[in-house]
Amino acid sequence: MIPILGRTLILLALLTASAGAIVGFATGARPTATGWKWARRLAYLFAACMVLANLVMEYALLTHDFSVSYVAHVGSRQVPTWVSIVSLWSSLEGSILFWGLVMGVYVAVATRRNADRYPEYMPYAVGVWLACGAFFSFLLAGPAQPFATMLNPAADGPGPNALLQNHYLMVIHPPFLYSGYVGMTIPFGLACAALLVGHLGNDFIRPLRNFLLLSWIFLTCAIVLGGWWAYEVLGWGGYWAWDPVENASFLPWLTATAALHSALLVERKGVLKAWTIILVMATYLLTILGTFMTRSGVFNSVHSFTQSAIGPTILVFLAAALLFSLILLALRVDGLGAEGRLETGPSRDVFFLVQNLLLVLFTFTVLLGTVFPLVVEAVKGVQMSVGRPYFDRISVPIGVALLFVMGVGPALPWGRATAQQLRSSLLPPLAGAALLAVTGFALGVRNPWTLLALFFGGFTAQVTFREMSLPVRQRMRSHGEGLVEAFRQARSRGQRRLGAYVAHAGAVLIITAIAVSSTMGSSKEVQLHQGERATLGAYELTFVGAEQINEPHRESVRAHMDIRKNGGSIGALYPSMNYYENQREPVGSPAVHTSLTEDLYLSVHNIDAGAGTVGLLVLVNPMICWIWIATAVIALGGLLALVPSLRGATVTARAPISAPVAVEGSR
Amino acid sequence: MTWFALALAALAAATDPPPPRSTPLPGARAPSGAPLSGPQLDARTNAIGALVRCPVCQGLSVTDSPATMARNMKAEIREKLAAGYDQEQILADFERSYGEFVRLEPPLRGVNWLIWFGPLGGLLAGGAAIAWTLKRSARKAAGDASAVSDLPTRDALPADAHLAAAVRRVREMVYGWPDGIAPKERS
Repeated sequence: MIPILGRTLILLALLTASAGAIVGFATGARPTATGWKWARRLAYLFAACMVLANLVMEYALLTHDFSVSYVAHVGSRQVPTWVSIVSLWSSLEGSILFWGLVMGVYVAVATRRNADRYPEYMPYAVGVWLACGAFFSFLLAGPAQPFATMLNPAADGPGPNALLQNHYLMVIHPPFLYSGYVGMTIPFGLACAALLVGHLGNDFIRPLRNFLLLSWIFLTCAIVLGGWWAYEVLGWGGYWAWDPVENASFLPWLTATAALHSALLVERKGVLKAWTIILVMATYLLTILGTFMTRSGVFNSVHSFTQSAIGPTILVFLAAALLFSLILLALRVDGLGAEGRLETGPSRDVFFLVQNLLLVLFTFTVLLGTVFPLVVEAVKGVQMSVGRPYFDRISVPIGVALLFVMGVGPALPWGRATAQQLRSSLLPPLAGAALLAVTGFALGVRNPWTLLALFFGGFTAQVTFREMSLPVRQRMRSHGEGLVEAFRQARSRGQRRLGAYVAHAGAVLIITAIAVSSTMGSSKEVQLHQGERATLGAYELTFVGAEQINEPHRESVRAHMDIRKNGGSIGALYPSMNYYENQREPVGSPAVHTSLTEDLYLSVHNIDAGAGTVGLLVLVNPMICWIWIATAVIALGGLLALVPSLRGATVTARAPISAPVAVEGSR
Repeated sequence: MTWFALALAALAAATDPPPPRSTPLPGARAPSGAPLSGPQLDARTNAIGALVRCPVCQGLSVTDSPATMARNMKAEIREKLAAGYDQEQILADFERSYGEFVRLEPPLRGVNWLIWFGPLGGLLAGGAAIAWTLKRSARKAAGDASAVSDLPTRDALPADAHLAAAVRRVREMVYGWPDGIAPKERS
């Protein structure tokens, strides 16, 4: 019953999406009110089918209906209810179903918000969205098939992947990731619509930017949540291994970040239109490439679940989308010529270009390093690796250069700067730069790259703060407002600008924290008997004993470690080994003591409760917690910049014109 | 700004040279470095372990991986360093046993040149693209400037009387000129 209901909904989604795509394109080519009405209806119907299909799957998971193939694959009566709920995205087929849900919601919201606006573009946009929706419905109806009927349902199932059950972060990481990934479909559709129509109006860049920004916020959080999960769960003490699957999420983030910045130049100066469209299209194609990399099992990686027919299908779609984008660009890019022009001297304009170059170069390098081994293996038949040392070597200079550009760019005025302006805007922040670099040096930083990152970090932090507070100071001076009132006014009038600088402040923080944490840590491997002690830096660890803990879905052996820092007790940590049913290898769970300055990280290599021994990896990682805090700051900045545009209010800082009507009337 | 990026790239090359071309199998397997010990040995073990892929893990290096095999390989690195073998000898040994796959940082040879110098090519191409864009923009600006000189000054009014009245109203509102006439013209 349930499998049939699910399959029917998927087929309905496929039907509505295909029909909607056709209606959308037809209405775009020959606009009619009826056509547009039906395109919208079909978009909402597609969304409804996807939402219902997901609800049906949740029902099947919660009622342990093992006649549904996906439930038989990942469900289990042994696991807690929350694990059953999140099992929806714990494995391949379900994650594609969940993708459909997110896509349905995005398409419905984007259609609803713009139902009365941009009449020449919107039918095409809905057409493109639903064409993408039709592909994912097809994937669910054919190759993925989460609702296949199990003829002889088992009494119980294996439960989801142990690594995913191990930590709550795995519960929230995928929804963020999908909201980021799938959300990129919306700007892609809008970009295609602009090309199909043949020009990109200044007003139309706004919905494009808004959905790009929304997805970007989700993707930013998702990437860091993934890193956080790796840090808390995988037990090697780091948060980023340049694993192909991590790269898959990072690639579209890079191009989306570039596009957010170049969209600002489109909005402001009418330049870089074609370039922005290319970045938006590249972002979407990279999300599909990422989906292919994570879902096909081409890489042997923690995240790649399985080998199946889904991979080739996604590859075909990727090729089709790439071909469609290239042809569209080749035919229509002429309509996207610049209306204004760029300043050529030392100016903010030029630094936007440099920033875009650096981000695209970063994308190119990461893509090259990720795909290269596959190509070499396919062509030469030799297995090779491109791993963390390569990516670290390349990303460090690019990251430092980005930090530099993020400081110098906003310090410069739009348009051409005079020598005097250059001096007064670039020299004062050197104080912040020197301060941070000297502080770092005094605290023992010797790595030249870390010192350089601190130097530029200080520079950029000072510029960012200056730009953030500039409108407030100006209001206080010219309007005689108090600090609070001036801040309130400046915020309400220039929230987008404020949001951008908050995000920059977060970016400075995160790059600095990454530079410090990756070069200033210390580590030690110890083998302890019960009652023995080990020291690392200011920490003293005592192995009190091994404890066995039985939970319904797993058994754990954990090491009870008493921790003292500088002689004072800071409590106990319990790194453990977890044994899951139906899982041969045990899964380690590291234990972390977090403080604002540094983390103490304990990971179990081996533990023997009988003999009373434990082998531990002990790490002291400085500033890790600031990576998570900085991400929250970046997301907050993104939201601040997003909210005023969502309200539809044009937020421009302009001096009020005093009663023009009265002037007219007096004449 | 390209100079800056190039300078960074040069700095990168200076401080961290790409791994040298791996030497062919040394006939006499004599250790070619000085034997290490103490904290220096730990540091070098971790540094070289970071370049060696743990064959049974999922992309982790021998230094990072908690797997037994990785820890055995790390112990092997340590022994060889203590005996005086250098980085290239150790990596070459692992490569003979496990294939090029085991090296996380591709050695600079054959097609691998692409991966090391591709980004540099990208940087140069991107820098050239920006220079070209700016040059085109500057040409356009020069064109605009000559066009502007043909246009009336900001005090001039169009010939059409209706249009002239509108322009004066706008100037009155925007510049605060009474009747939209520039102050210096009045005096």
